[in-house]
Amino acid sequence: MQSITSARLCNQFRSMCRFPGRNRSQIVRYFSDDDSQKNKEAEVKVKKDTPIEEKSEQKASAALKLSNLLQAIIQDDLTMKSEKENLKLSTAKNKKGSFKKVVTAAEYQLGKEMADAIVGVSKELEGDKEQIKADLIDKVASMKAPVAEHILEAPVKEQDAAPKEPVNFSDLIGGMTVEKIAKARPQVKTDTQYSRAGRVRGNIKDKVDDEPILSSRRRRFAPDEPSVRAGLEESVPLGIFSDPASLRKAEPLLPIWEQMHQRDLQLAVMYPPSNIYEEMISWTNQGKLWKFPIDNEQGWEREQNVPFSEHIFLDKHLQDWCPKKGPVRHFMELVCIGLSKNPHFTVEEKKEHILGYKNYFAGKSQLLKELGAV
Amino acid sequence: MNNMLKNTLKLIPSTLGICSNIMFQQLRTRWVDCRMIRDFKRRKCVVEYADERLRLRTILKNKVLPVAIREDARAMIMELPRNSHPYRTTYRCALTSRPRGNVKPFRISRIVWRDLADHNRLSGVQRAMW
Repeated sequence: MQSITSARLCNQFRSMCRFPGRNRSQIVRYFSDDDSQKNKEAEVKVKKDTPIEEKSEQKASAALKLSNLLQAIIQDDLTMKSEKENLKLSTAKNKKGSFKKVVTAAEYQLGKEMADAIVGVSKELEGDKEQIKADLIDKVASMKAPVAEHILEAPVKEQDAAPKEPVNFSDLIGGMTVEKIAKARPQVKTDTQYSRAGRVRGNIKDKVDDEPILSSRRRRFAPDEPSVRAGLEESVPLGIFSDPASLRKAEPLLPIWEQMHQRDLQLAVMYPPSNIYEEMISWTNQGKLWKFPIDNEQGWEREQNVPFSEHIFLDKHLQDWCPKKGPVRHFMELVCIGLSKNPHFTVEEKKEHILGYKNYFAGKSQLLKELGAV
Repeated sequence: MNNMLKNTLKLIPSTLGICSNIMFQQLRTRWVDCRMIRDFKRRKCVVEYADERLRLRTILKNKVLPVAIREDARAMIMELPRNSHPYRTTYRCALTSRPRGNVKPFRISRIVWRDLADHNRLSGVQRAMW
C-alpha cells in the first residue's frame, strides 16, 4: 500500500492543472489508494522491500508514471494538431479597395484596350518592338484619349526597360511610381453636414447632379470623340460675320428662359445661411434689418440726392408768375408753406402742384381782373 | 361664380357628350366677383383725377380767395367724373370681396382674418388672454 505523501500530492495537482485534458480515470488512479488497478508485482515488491528501498521504489514508480503522463500529453497534442489542420476556420474576406491594382505606364496613360492594341501591333510589325511601342504610345497620348477612373487611380508599375535613345515619354513615366490608393469616403459627418444648411446643401447637390437615368441616356447618345483635333485659330477665317463683337450684345430669343437660367446659376452658388449671423447679414442686404449707423431715410431710394432746401424753399417757383400782393399771393404762400411741411411728396410733385395752380389761375385771369384780385 | 359656370354649360348642347355635373371648384382669378372689379375701376379713376381734385378742393375750402373763384372751382369739381370721388370706393375683403366687417390693416374680412389667425398665418397675432 502506497501512502500519499504531501509532496506527491502537490506534484499530481500541478500536473493536473497544466494538462487539463487528462481524463478523470487517470486522475482518480493517481490519487486513489485503491490497489486493485495497480500492478500486483509492484505491490508485492513494495511489500517485500525495506523502508529505504521502499522509498527508492516509490521514486522510480513516480518517475515512470510521470513519463507515461508526458507521453500521453504529447500524443494528445499531436492529435490536436492533426485535428486543427482538418478544421476549416473562417477568415476575413478581402475588402473591395484593399488591394492595389498594378498597372503599366501605357495603361495608365491610355487605357487597357489601347495598351493591348499597341502591344499587339508591336508584335506583328518587324523591328524594335519597344521602340514601336513607345512611338505608338507617344502618338496616341498626344491625342489625349480619356482614361477610365479606376486605372488613373491605380498605382503604376516600374518598368524595367533600359533607357533608349531618343528618350521616350513612356519611359520617363515608367521611371516614376505613382502610389494612389482609392480615396476613402468620409465616414464621419461634420457638424455642418448634420445641420439644416448641410442637409439643404445635400439636397441642392442631388438636384444639380444629373439623375442616373439622364446620365445613362447621355452616354448612349454621346457623340464620338473627334479623331482630328480642331484648332480655333489655325486656319484663315471665312469672314461671314463682319462685326463679331456685336453678336454678343444680341438679345436672347427667350428672355424668360435666360432669366430662369441666371436664377439657376445664382441658386447653384448660393447656400442657405449656416448660422444666425449669416441669416442676419442676408436680411440686412435685403433691407429687412436696419443698417448701422442708423439712417432714418434707409430705403428711400427716390430722393437720396435731393437736398432738403429744395423741399422747403419753394418761393422761387412763384417768382415768375405770381403777383406780389393780393389774395392770390396770399393763397400761394399758404400752399408753399403746406407743401414744405409735407414729407410725402417728391420735389417734382410739389413743382407740378405749383404749376397746376399757375395754369388754373392763368385760365381764370379774366375773372380775377374783374374781381380786382390781380 | 358657380351660377355663371352652370349657365355657360347649359349653352353647350348635350349631344357633344359633356357632362353637366362637373365638380365645381373655386375659381381663383385676380377678382373674386364683379363688385370687386367695379371697385378697382373706381380706384383707378380716383388715382387719375387725384391731383386735379386736390387743387380744386384747396381752392374751394380756403377763405383767402374771393368767393366767385371758389364757386367756380366748385362747379369744376362737380364736372369731374363721378368715379373720381374717393367716397365711392369700398374697402372690400381681398379674398372674399366682403364689403363690411373688414380688418383694415390686413385688408381682409373678419371671418378670413379669424381663420388665418387660428392657423398661425398672421404675423404677431395671438389669441387674447389676460
